[in-house]
Amino acid sequence: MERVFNNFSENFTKPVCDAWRRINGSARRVALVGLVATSTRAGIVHAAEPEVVADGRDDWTLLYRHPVNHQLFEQLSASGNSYRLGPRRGVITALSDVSVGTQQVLDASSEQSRYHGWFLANTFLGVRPLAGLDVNLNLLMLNPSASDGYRASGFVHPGLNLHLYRDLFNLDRHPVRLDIMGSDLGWVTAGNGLLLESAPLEGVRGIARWKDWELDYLFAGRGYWSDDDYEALSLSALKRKVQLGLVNWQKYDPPAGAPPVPGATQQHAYYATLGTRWPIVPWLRLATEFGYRVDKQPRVGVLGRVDVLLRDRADYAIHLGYQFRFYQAGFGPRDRMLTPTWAFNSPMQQDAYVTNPFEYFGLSPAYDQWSHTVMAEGRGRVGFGVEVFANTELWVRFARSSTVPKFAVYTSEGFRAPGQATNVYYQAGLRYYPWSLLPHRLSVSLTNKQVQAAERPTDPVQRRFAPGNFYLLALEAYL
Amino acid sequence: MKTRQWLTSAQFVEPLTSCLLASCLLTFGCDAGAPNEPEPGVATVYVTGARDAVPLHPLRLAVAWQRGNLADERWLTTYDTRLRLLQDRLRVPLTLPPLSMRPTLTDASTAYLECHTGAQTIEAPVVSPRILIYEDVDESGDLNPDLPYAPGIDRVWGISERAVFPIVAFSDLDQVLSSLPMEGAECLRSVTNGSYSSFFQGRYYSGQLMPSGSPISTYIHLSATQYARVLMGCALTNERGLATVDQVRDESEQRWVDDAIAGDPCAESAGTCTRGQAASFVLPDIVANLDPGSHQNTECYVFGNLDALLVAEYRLVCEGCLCHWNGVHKTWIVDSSRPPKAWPCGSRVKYCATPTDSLWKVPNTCSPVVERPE
Repeated sequence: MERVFNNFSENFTKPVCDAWRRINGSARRVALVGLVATSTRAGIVHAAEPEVVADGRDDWTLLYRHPVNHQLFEQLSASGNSYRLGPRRGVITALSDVSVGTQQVLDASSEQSRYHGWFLANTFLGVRPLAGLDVNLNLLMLNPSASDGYRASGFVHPGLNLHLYRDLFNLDRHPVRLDIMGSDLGWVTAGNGLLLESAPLEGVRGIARWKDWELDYLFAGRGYWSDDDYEALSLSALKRKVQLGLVNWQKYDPPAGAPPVPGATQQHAYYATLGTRWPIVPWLRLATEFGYRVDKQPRVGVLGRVDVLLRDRADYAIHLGYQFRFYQAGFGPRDRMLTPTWAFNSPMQQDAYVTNPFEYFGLSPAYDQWSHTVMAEGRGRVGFGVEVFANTELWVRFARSSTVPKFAVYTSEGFRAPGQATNVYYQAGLRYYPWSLLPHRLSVSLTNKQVQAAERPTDPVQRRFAPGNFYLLALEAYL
Repeated sequence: MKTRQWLTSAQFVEPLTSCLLASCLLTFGCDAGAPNEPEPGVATVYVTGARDAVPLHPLRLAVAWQRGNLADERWLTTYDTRLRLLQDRLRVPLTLPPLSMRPTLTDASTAYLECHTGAQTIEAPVVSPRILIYEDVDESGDLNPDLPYAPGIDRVWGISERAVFPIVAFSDLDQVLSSLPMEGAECLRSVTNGSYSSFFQGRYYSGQLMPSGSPISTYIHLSATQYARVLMGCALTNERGLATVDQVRDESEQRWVDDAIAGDPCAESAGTCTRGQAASFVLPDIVANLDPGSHQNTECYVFGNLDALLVAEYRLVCEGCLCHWNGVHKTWIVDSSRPPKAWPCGSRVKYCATPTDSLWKVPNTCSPVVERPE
């Protein structure tokens, strides 16, 4: 056994250390910051770092924050991405997250998920021909199943984001900056996630910024249903610590029990929202959001979330979070119980919490709903390039019928309303980093949180995660 | 200036209440309520027929579910109450037997629901109750019906119609709901008239049982008690009984001829023919057609000095709920001047006109007139 470790040290650790010594002092310091952050795969966001606008990714989690399809140069310049190969400045750059893996069921009663032998290359190409214009192309190349036949199910899903940005004029000696981008908006979270959270959207977005103020307009051609549009205008102050929003959720509600009527008049659900994000201390944050549906009978929704995040440690990271949600019956945008569908389903979706407005809005017309969610993620290095990690989510949800007489409904996940359910989602395992200062890795884990997908990733599905227990093997490289 | 809807103080009250509720919810203190159980259904029953009959024993109304068939036929009651006054219209509560007993019910079928859920037609297992009015002969307060294949004590006066518009209930509403998207649940809710109930009014369309969309109602036509041996089971028009009932499978012919008649009247008999003294003939009990499980057609003809009594007896024979009719044609030919005792022709059974010149070729087309015996 000792010889095995010696060989390992000779073959893997020593070359890395030798290379480390060859780096000069200042570069070493820069690299150190980057590599420490790299080892946690989620970088430290410093105030001095270039800002990524319209960034819907959750900052307060240890789940992987996938790159977004705009401002690639800025993303690459962030300290957490120092290992990436693409240039930080110039005309063109690129980055890619590549993985191959398999999931297998632990027990015969579980069905294979669609991604039981996959490859995935989430590749971004950014072209900046001149200051103020970015052309960003995200090519998501994936094959969900190696069982379908040689390259039979390989897909390339392009997402293009054309990004225009200009300083328009100065106001009080500060520039007013305008960003307009579309149509690939990536994973969008509206406010703190009361209405939309980590939802893949296409549409257009315009953002005007001045000092600590931000005016954000968003139009998405599809939200949680195939026939809806999501339109929002929000005003943020104090660097988005306070955010006021107005939302117009357009839809076509059919009569009860009847199919959608062709040529039906479009209906609207109007909302006013107020969100706050308060970083009490650098590792503790409190976030709230209050929503008020203003059409017909006023209805309210409430989201409260508190997070403790210790991420910037060399050998370990911990996130503990709690969120409470309350959706009064009728708060959701639909006035009929219509099952929402998730339009894009790739393994990247597993890096989002199960607790999501998507899970509530189908029932919303007839049920008061509330939930308590505890999120906990942790990881720690145990030596020899091995990391232990565990991501868990405890979700306790309640639904109370608001109709008389009461009626029972099942969601796609099998939750029976009215009623209460407690669900625990987990992923836990080991990661092995052959190059201890780089994020490329081999991982093995157990999980019950596997993305649900139909034959194609773009086939809408009614439930986001497949039931069952699985073990996962994955090889991941970050370029 | 028109006040904005969402700025009125009155409309703020409910959201504020909700905020208080939200603070309650934060402490886990609010209860989502116990899981719903399906609510009982209610059927409207219209009573027709022999309303003026006077029962010797208490009349009761029951909701009963068939278990077993033929000699094993048993009825499980979920509602049984005394009828002190026989009204034209009754409201009857409907509840399902316990879940564990439902698989034993034999009046089971499949309902087909078009729910616009984007999926195929919903196929849901259903069971069907019968609502009956019976005379509680043993005054036990429990239904123990006297049935053609399972003799009992209580006389059934009438039973709910179900050939076209049966009352049905989802065997397991929760199981059906769990297999449906929530759009389907809304559809189901409209099927059960907006209530969370397993019961709905069905109708047959092209041999398939579907929801009618109407409130639950049925008719009970009362018949005379002495002959009301109602066939309760196997009369449901469903996939089990529709194709085979009403078909005649076996027919036979029997003939009895008075010795006093000259000639060879047995020559043209297709079945058995027995000659004997008219006085020794055992004649059938001529009854009204009140038993749906049997059918008796009685005709009398006169030809010269001969009387002929023709009795066609049909009996529904069931194996499970696959039923067919067995028929026996019986003929008695006697001298008109010396009929046997209790000869019904000319008294209880009126003569039919004889359109042919041959006694042996009388058509079986005359509708008999049978008087009810005293």
